[in-house]
Order: sequence, then C-alpha cells, then structure tokens
Amino acid sequence: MDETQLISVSFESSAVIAFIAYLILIIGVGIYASRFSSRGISEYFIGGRKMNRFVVALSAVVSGRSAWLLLGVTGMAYAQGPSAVWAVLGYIIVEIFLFLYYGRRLRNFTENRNCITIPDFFAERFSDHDGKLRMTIVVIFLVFMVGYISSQFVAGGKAFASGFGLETDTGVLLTAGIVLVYTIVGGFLAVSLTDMFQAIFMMLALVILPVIAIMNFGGLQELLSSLAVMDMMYVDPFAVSVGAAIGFLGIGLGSPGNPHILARYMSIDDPKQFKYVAVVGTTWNVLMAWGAVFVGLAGRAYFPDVEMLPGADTENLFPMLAQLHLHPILFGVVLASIFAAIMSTADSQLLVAASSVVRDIYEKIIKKGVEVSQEKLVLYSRAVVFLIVILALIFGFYAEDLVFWLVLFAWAGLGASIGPTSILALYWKGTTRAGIFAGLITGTLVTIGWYLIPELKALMYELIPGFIASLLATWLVSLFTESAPDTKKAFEDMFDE
Amino acid sequence: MISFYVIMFILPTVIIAGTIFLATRKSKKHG
Repeated sequence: MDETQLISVSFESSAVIAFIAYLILIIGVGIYASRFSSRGISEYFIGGRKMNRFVVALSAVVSGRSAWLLLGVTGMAYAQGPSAVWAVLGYIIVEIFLFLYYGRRLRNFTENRNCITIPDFFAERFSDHDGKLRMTIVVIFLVFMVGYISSQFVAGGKAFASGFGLETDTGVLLTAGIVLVYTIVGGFLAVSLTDMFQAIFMMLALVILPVIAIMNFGGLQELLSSLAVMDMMYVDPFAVSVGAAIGFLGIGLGSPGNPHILARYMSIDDPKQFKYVAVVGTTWNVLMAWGAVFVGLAGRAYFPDVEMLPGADTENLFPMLAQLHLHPILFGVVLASIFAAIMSTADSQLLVAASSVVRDIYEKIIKKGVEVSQEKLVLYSRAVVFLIVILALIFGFYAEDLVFWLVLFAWAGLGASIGPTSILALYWKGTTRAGIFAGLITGTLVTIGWYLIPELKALMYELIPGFIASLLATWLVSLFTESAPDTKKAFEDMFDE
Repeated sequence: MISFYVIMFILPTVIIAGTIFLATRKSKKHG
C-alpha cells in the first residue's frame, strides 16, 4: 500500500468517525425531544411556542440556507469572484427586518389566535370561514414543499456518494432515513435543536476553512495579488452587471414567503427576544455568507482551472479545498456540515408540509367543529411525516426531472406568493381576503411564466417580478373589496400585551 | 482593490453594527 492510499484511507475513516458522532448527536436529540413533542400538535409543529432565543436565531438562519450556501455560493465565488456577495446580501438584509419587525407581529398574532401554521394565520386574519383561502395556501405549500424535500434528499445522496463513495440511491435513502428518525420522534423541538448544532457545524466549516486556506497560501495580500494576475474580476466586487446584481439581491425576497422559515418566528417563547435573535441570527448569517465567498476566492487561487475540480464542477470546490487543508477530523466536520445544511432544511420543510396536512386539511377542514384528541393528532402527524418522506423519495427516484423543475420555482414561487401577501396582511389594514387570493395566484403564475419565457428569464430573476406583481395584485384587488370585519382587533392582536 | 476591502470587510461589520443599533435603540411603537 503506497502513501497516497494510506492518506485516503485515513481521511475516509476519520470522516466516517466524525460523521457517525454527528449522527449519534442528532438522533440522541430526537429521542430527548420526543416526550415534549408528544404532548400536542402545538408542541409537535411549533415547539409549543417555548423555543429559546438562541435556538430560534440559529434555526431560522440555517433552515433557509440549505446546501446552496456551502456548495452553490462557494462555487459562484470561485466562478465570478467577490461579486458573489450580492447573492447573499439580499437575504441577510431582508432577514434583519423580518427578525426585528415582521417576526414579532406574526408571533404575537399567531399566539393570540392560537395559530399553528401559516395557512392558520391567513385563515384567522381574513375570517376564512369556508376554508377556501386555507386550502389554496395548503395546495401551494404542498406542490412546492414535496419537491423541495425530495431535492434535499437527492442532494444528500450525492453528498454521500462523493464523501463516502456510496451509491447515490443508497445515499438518498440514508439521508431520508436519518431525517425521518429524528423528525418523526422529536418533532419541532428536535428539528430546532439539531438545527442549532447544524448551524454550529456550518459556521465552523465556513470560517475555519478559508482562514486556514488563506494562511497556507501566504496571507490575504498574497492571495489577492495572485487572483488579480489571473483576472481583475476575482478581486472586484463590482464586476457584475446592474441587472444581475438586482437579481442576486432579489433572492432575499424569498425569505418572508418560505413557511419553514416563518415557523421559526412563531415558535419563540418571548416575542421581546426578537432583538436578540436579530443580532445573533444576522451575525451568523454574515459570517457564514462571507466565509462562503472567501472559500470561493481561496479555491480559485488553489485551483486556477476548473478542470482541476472533480467533474469540472464548481460545487465540488468546498469539500476539495477542505480535504487539501484541514486535519482529517476537521475534514469530517466539513463533510458533516454539508449534510447539516441539507438536513436542517429538509427537516423544517418536512414538518411544515405535515402540519399543513394534519392541522389545516384534517383538523380545520375535514374535522371542522369536531374535537380531536391531541394524542390522535400527534399520532397522525407522525404518520404524515412518514408518508411525506415516502412521497418525496418516490418523486426523487422516479420523477427526478419533475423534482428539479419544482425546485426551480420553490424558493421563488413561495417567496412571490406568500411573501407579499403576508407582509400586507401584517402591515396594511386595508388588505382583504379577495386581495390575498389575487396576490397568491398572481405571484405563483408570474413566477412560473417569467421563468418559462427565455427572454424574460435572461432579463431578471423571476422572484422579483413575481413578488412585485403579487404585491400590486393584492393591493389593487383590496382597494375594491371589503376588508374583514374584525381587522381592528386583528391588528391589536399583533402587538405585545 | 479598495472596493474589495470595503465590500469584504467593512460592509459585513456595518451590517452587524447596524443590526445591533436597530435592536438596541428604544422605540416608542412596539411590534
């Protein structure tokens, strides 16, 4: 056995040990949380609104990030230099305002009206007695969410394949199995606590790796000189067209519309703690995002030609750079951080999708007016979590093209439909139920339509026109229709007591 | 090169400092 083989074996076993330790941790958390989560569906789906501020801050930022930050943004910075910053700046700024203002109103209203889900929120805010508004939102959620979950499983399968040499299909099953175990057993508490650990893994990986890689290169000055010789683009954050920069910044508009992020805001124990959440969440967001950009820049210096990356794929940069510079145990942490990013998003989406089925369809529509025991609801919730995982797996294995297609619209589609309507519902008393319908449908259709027309797609990221169209449609239709009779009371319920 | 340092070091510091400022200022209105 030659030296190269020895190194590769040592990498593999250390990575496996680090990964198994990580698995034991998150499954342990699931078991720890199971008793609390079994009390009722409020506990199972939003942690009984008893979540600690630190947990909420970290869970809110990692649920929204997925592997896009670790693999996508690092690859983007590798390809185009520091102008990749514009892709992360939008959501960071938007989330500051969500933490400080929007989150608090949503949290207060949903507690005062005993809402557990986002469709619950809309139904209460707009006196949706016939359930049509609730059902419309549930359909939008399920269409996007199942594809979204499925894509996370597929991403996990690919990570298993490249990290541990497993078959992709086996990796997909393993990812789904791990997420299923701790989510089904431990519900929201387990998901939030594991998110917290996952956020710590991601932060460690994204801060330590670029620092070590840049130091090994001879320092920042050396790195920048080397990049400037290759192309000035690699040191110029403004080497991007205005249209592209606006499109990048527009990614942030998705945050207020993605229900797996909003559920975090609803779960905090004390709404006054959102100020703390804003500071911790933003610090985490900034360090992870800028870390990802620095990983890309360092990567370009080490691998000047994309052909030097496996499969010439920029998404392989992050693990490659880690393998080159980190101690095997830390490399294991980096591998675990990729799974952490995938799982922290998949678990949150899984719970949101299940909550729409059990709370919104079963309890509020099918069993409307009938008392159903909490034990039964939690049992059904666990069964639905299981069924959604199976459904997402079927999609992943047999309809990968469809999944890919749905995911293209998931962030933008949810952002453009739920984002503007929920902002107006929280901030404008004149918003009406008919206006919300108009906004939901317009946002979804414009997003999909814009994407499908190549000339428009080339012009701008579809979320921006979708968001604006939804905002305008909600506003215009609301102007000509009656607002809900208890609007004044609804706004009182949005403020602290 | 100055723009690199501004965007990669000063901007993130300003974002965090700005958030701390917004979070700690006293507001008359709540919610």
